[in-house]
Amino acid sequence: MSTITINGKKLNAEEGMTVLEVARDAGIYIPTLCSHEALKPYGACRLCVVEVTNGNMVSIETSCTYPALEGLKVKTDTDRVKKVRKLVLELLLARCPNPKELKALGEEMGVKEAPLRMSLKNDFCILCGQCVRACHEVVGAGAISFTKRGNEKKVDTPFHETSEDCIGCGTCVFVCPTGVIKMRDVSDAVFYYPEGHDDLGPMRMMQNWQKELKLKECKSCGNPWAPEFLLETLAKRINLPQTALDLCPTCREPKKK
Amino acid sequence: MDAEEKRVLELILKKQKGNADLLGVLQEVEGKYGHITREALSYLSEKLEVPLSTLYHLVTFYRCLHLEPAEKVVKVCVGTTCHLKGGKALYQQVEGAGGYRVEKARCLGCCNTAPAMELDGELMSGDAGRERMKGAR
Amino acid sequence: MKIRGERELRTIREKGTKLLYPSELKITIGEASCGLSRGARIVEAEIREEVKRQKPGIKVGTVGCNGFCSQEPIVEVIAPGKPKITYGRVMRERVKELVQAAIRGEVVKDLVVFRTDYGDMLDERIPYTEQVPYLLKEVTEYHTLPAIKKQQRYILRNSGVIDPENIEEYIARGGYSSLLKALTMKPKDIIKQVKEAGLRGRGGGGFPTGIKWEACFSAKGKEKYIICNGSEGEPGIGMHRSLLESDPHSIIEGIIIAAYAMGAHEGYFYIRDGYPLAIKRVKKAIEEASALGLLGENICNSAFNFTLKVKRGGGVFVCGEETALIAAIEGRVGEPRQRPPFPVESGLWGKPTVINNLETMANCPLIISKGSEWYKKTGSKTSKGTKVISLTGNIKNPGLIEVPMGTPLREIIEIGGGPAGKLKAIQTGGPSGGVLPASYLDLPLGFDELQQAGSMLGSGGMVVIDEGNCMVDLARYFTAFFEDESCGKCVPCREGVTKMREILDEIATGKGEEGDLAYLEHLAHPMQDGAACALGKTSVAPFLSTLKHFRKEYEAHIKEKKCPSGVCKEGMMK
Repeated sequence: MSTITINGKKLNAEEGMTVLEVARDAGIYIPTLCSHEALKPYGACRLCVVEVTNGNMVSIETSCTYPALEGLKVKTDTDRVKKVRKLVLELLLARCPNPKELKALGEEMGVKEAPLRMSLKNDFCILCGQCVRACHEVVGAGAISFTKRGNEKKVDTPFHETSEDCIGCGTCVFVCPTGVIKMRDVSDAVFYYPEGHDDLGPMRMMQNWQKELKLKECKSCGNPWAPEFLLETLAKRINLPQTALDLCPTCREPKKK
Repeated sequence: MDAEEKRVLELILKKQKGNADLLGVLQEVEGKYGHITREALSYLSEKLEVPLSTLYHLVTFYRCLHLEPAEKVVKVCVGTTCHLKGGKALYQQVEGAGGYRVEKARCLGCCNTAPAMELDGELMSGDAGRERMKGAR
Repeated sequence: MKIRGERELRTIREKGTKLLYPSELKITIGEASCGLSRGARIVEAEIREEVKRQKPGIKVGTVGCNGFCSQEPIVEVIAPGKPKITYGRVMRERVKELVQAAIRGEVVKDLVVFRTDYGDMLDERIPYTEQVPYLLKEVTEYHTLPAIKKQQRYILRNSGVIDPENIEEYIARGGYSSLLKALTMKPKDIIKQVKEAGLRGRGGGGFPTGIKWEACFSAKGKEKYIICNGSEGEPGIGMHRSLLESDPHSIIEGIIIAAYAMGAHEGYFYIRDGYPLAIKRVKKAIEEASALGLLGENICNSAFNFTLKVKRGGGVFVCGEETALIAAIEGRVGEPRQRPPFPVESGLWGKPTVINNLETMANCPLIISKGSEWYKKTGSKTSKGTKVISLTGNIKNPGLIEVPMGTPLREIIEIGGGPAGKLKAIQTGGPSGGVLPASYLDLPLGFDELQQAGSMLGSGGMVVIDEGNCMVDLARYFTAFFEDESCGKCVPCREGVTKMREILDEIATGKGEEGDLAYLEHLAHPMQDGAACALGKTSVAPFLSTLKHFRKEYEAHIKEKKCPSGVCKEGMMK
């Protein structure tokens, strides 16, 4: 247990908590982009920076990674901190001018768009890494990763090809803050080729990872509910009863009388 | 991947005890074959029980690892002193050289020979290097 | 044979002394990278051929870099009872003449650089000769050279003198006696000595080494690690390469002492990927030390076990940062992480780890054998000891020198023969450092002094800039370096550095606009605050530093589209 001060307010912190966690628990707002409670903190977006005084050292640190050490004094809205947040938004808007989530966050910080002098790209990925971290840390599929380094850094599949390891769970879609990762379930996929066509049935398309997965149909209601590959992978990892593999979540629930 | 390649990889993996030194393993594979093939990467992923994407990230992050083979490598120094003495121009001259993988080296540590370069592992002045490369064509 | 104590060490010392002071004629060639890049191997082959032809009894050996890099290829002749003769710029064609002269006891006048009457090991002198032959009296003696008189070659004492691949020669010059002494001391006392000596990190941070060691010593846990940082990826700094290639044992001895003080049983020597010869020589040195029982189990009968592994770098500059270095050794990508916790509490594999630069490590044997009081005599009030400086750029004799801290920058430049043109500025501390205009020449060398002046000591790089170099071009060059080396994790660095470089490019090619300097400053200050590591934070230093002292050059580029030094040509007015 330790006691820290945020904006003059004395707060209690349990062992291992970060400044961000303590702030959130106390209802103090700190903006974030790459932080997620289910994921280990990464500290990449730098939006959650705060001014920290530890002993007689004052520094600007990311609250999502900084441990709530005893006696820490934290200020969440100093000029220095605000300038960093503004720059982060300016730079992100220069990289991704279109995602509405970024624009909204920018408005909050008083940043309408990137400064005129900044060159613009038209990307949608802010490299927060939530998709990668979720895929490795939570799902355990490890289908995607960061690739390269510096300003060439990108989220990608190995060799930029169909990901073998992707199980189509859609966690990456769920966590992505800008919605650039997309997933589409198609009930009657058809594969056309010059000589004819194949009816593939219900498929899930993980477009960003060039992966197409056959969806399993519920034995009871016939709804395509989960990719077969996902179910196979899970079955290998943990002991699942047959009903979990054959029935969709709705049909699995005991009928209420 | 042929049997010989598999054997080499197994030997490299055998040397790993406890915490797998992923970077070291990949460096050894590159050392043996000049680059890292897809098959080697898949094999390592399976044996080390590490996702392929993790290994791919390492290979694309570190400069010492390459996915493409290159028979001849020339490194042109673009360190501070070499830059002041024409390293940039030397790099531009050498850049399109056929049959060579041309890389920028950030200080070969031979500031007395600026602008310097390393041709197939041998250090020399830019002038000497250019001569050698001309002769090789 | 394993070294168990003084007795065995003495035996090897005697063997090594015979190699350094041979009873027959011996010729050596300087074969560190500076020499090799000038064709030293060709000269060696020619010498061996010539010796075979003329007098097969002559010994031929190799040494490292003696700091006179502009004189390479360097060949030295040691004739028993005579001063050592150092020849410079020896080309293959002159070898025959040189060997013949050596056999006849004569000298090739136009190739001689200096003679050396005695070898010095800190304060002991072992003479090569009792009386200087008449013919050699006109040849300048090494210790009287102005360039040498102003230096204090403690760390570089063996560089260029010993064969880096022969531990006996290192031991002959006092090597490993410091380790033997350390093993009789209590770890707490060793740390006390290092603390009192005032040693500060030579890798750039300048953090007090003793305090770092103390923190790791007091950290919880039995499993501790030592990492020696030889990653030196900064452009313009050949010197660490030189020390690694010329005297690897001086660093290894320091590492073992550090490990003993910390109670660490495993160590890693991380060496930059671009230095294959350094890696080879360090690996060989570790093998030799292990064979003699100076590494491994029960070191010198002390019951202390320690193994040292060489870790070849991944080829990226960011791995010089402590946490990124740890990531590389752990097999992850070199992305820095949050500190605290600091490596001394939680480092490699989450265990307390001391990471020291190789020059810092090389200082430790000196502190232990001579004591902190002796060490403190050299240097200034807040920067003790000496500093190895890589003197390059537009200077008459680029090379590797070593001076006491506190030496004025002016004197350092004089050691290198002075500027080749008209001095405009000195760039110190590598890309993360800064520029100091000529008016700062009286500034004494030191961590705090350089920092207060707006630059940085860093790892000791000093690049002489003259009127023919453009400061805007230099800022652009360094910023592009950071752009290339950014790991890409955090937004301020990954995105910000590119934006800065783009504008600097435009300024340098006649496309600069009014307000550009203010815009760059608008980027730079939050980048310093927001970036995740020192790379990102100091990526703005080249611009801010050149702007502070050379604003007029920027304004000329932007307003008049003119480059005062004539370097920037594209888009500029004639």
